[in-house]
Amino acid sequence: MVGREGALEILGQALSCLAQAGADAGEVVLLSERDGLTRFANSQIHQSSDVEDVRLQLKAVVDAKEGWATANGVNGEAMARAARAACDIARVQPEGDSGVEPAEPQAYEDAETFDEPTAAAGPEARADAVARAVVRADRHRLIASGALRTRAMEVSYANSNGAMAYARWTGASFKAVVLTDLGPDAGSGYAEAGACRIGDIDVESLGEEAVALCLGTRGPDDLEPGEYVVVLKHAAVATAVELLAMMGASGQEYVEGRSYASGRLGQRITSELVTIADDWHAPGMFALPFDFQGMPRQAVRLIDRGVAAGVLHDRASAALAGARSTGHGLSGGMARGGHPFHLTMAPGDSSVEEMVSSVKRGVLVTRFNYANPVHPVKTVFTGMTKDGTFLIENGELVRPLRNLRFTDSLLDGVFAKVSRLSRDVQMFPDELGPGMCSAPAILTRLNFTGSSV
Amino acid sequence: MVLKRLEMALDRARRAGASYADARAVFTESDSLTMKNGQVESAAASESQGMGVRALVNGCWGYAATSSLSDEDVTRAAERAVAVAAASAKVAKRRAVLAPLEAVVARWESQCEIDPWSVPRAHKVDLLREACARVRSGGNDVRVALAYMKALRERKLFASTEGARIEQIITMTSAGVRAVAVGDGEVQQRSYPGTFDGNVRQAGYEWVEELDIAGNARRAGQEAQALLAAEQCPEAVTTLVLGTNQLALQIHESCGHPVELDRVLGTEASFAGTSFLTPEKIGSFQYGSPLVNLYADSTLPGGLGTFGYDDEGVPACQSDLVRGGVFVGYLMSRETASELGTESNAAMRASGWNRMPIIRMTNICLAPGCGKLDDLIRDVDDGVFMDGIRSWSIDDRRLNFQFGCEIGYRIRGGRLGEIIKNPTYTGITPEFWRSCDGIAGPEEWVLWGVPNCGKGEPLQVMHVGHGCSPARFRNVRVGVGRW
Repeated sequence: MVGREGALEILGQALSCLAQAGADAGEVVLLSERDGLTRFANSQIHQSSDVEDVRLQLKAVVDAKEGWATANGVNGEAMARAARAACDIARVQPEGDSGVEPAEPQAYEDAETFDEPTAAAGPEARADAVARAVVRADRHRLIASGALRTRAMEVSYANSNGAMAYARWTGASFKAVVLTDLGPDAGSGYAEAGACRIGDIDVESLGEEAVALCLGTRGPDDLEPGEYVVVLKHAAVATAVELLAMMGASGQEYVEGRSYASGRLGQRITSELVTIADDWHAPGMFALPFDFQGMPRQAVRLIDRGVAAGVLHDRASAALAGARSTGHGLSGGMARGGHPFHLTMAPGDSSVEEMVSSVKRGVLVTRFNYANPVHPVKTVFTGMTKDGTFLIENGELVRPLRNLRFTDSLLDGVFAKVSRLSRDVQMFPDELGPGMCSAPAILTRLNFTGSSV
Repeated sequence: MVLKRLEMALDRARRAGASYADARAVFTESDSLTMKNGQVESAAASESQGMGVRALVNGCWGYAATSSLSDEDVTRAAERAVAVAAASAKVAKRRAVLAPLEAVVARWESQCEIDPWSVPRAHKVDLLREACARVRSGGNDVRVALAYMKALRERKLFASTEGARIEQIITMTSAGVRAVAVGDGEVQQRSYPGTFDGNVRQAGYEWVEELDIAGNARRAGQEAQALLAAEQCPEAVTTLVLGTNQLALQIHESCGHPVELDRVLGTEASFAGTSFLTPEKIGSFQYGSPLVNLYADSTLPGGLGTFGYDDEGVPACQSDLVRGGVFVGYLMSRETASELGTESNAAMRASGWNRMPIIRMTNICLAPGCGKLDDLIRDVDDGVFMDGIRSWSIDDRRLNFQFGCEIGYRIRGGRLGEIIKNPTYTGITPEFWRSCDGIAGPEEWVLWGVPNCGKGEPLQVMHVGHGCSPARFRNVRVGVGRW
């Protein structure tokens, strides 16, 4: 970790390197991370790592053309080499493109979600926590696996117009998957949580939850394919929200007609009970008040009470759409268009238990596995249920089911048919990046098209 | 100088209590360019360097990595790796044992005729701009024309307390185009030559020239345009013929992953999943029809899963996975191989200096049969041909899969018929491969690079390869879902 003063000093040096390399203007992003992860499987720790990295991303503007270069050394030589590369790339672009100039200085909210105990958590603390979860599986002769991760991150931004920003935050996540065995009809349970502070992760409770779920899933039964009433627990809903965002939250895809929202803003696209947003102010989210283009990060409602309400813009897609950047830009020459880090789905006034009790015949789904888009504009997706799928009859969980394959539309199916939402939300870490997603459980319908064997 | 630092780290790890340690320094540089509709979408040069130390203490692993190669930070990484391993030992039930290995001092470099960095960027921009124009010329509704290329070079030094000292240099190059056509509530895409970065090879710029993306760009645009007006893929149980781009992913998901021995032994249960190919099935389980021969080959020239030595210093090799339809082998590390009483077949790989090596695919290939794609189609009265990767999903034991392709064609009376859109198919892995009754010959065999295989926590995105000829499968369910 380099700290605010150290980061701003490095950014200043990098901007000087860009100027010396011939850039008319420039912007620089510094990413610093300390990542500690302890994985366990077969009820023992099998992989554990501590990694430190610093990455510097430079953008050069030469004759209204831009070029990017990235380095993970912050010494003068590495910076100068990256600055020259960025300028060389900019010079060979075919023609100038308006809008590549760095942003003017902006006002950012002063907010920080950095927790010293999380940043300081080392392998010993992680191992102790894992031990407390594993012992719960050991008591029932079950197989525990999962991971405990702690991260401390810094992002800082500066450009040649004088804009400067710095943020640091911490994140912690714990996941437990408990199995009866590794065979075809193994019982399996799962629990997961993400938070900004490791103190907010209750490893023991999560371990107990996964164990209890596993014990109830032994001897699963088959289910005929077809559309069923389903109670989707929080983790499954979080996956659905993330997939929907993947299929069209980007302002660039919206402009190009490749988003579910293209031509539909202002129209009803889901049940009026559905509100989905990207909002770093939401409870439990990490604070990142600006994006990687130096723009203030705003809360954006993607779906507001069932109506397509907005998309996420970076500066380039905003220019194309005749809109303002919403502060969701990435950097480093990555694909254009806004990207969500703080997805939320608004809760309702029910609970998983109440939803289950209201179902005459249906399915309870704990979470989805390997779910992917099939057709983005139609928001068709497919995947499998995992770690706790149950048949509901007359308001009771009557028996566990084998994992089921579903193929359905998120907008025309899952989110159109929502009739209840839980009053509580749970927070999940994005497995691919720093993002988080908070989601309630929902009562809806889902089209099952197959099952595991 | 870097090697000296690795040796310093090993010495520090040993003195701190490691019974075994290895250290790996990795330097990567990449240069990528993407153009959209003739304008630069992204252009970036990237460098990354760092080193990681893996230490074994009381039979438990620890890993620590740093982007700094200073004496102080390298030494600290070694000490942290030992401390991490010692902490891991608090929650240990069995001790890791490594299969024997003869340590080597060696150097290996992939083939590269034309250094991609020697080609002027202006030349690359001109090529991609021309390709974009030709994609757009394929149809009025082709809203997005993408053309892209990338070069990546990795220099890796490996040293172990057993005496291994290995240097490897790998150069990878890719290029391709994609057409996206937008109609009324419909979006269709077509890529050339394949979906993932076009196609990626261990090669130099000569690979970009061989792909001739500009010469094939218009066809991609035409096919995307035609898909907008095409009929929906029918819902049926029918004969399916797969082109090589999609078949490569089928091999990846339903053979490559389930033969990873770490999954089989449960160590990926919480993330990547487990496997239906459990050890008692070796040598007896009918994975596919007798035509099906699958193998791992990390020596294959040009393959993305090719190297001289894996990240444990095990020499590259070829090994059978499915022989005559029968499951016969796994991808293994030194630790997992020892659990089966055998030796590693060089499948331990890390995606970079900041990741601990885990079992990964190398080049997982389907051996060719005989004849041409036309011969496979000629024996089909009523069926579907699909190719181009668009969507993928498979369960955590690698049994129930569902794929969506970019393009499909009806097969009627032994000939390709009309084009169909949104083609999907689903099945159960062994049932699917047992239904294989035709594999085209060596003249149709294509080596694909998959640059985005994800596994492990933190996620490791790995480059792997798959070679195959088109193949035919009977009684497959196609047209899944409601459209």
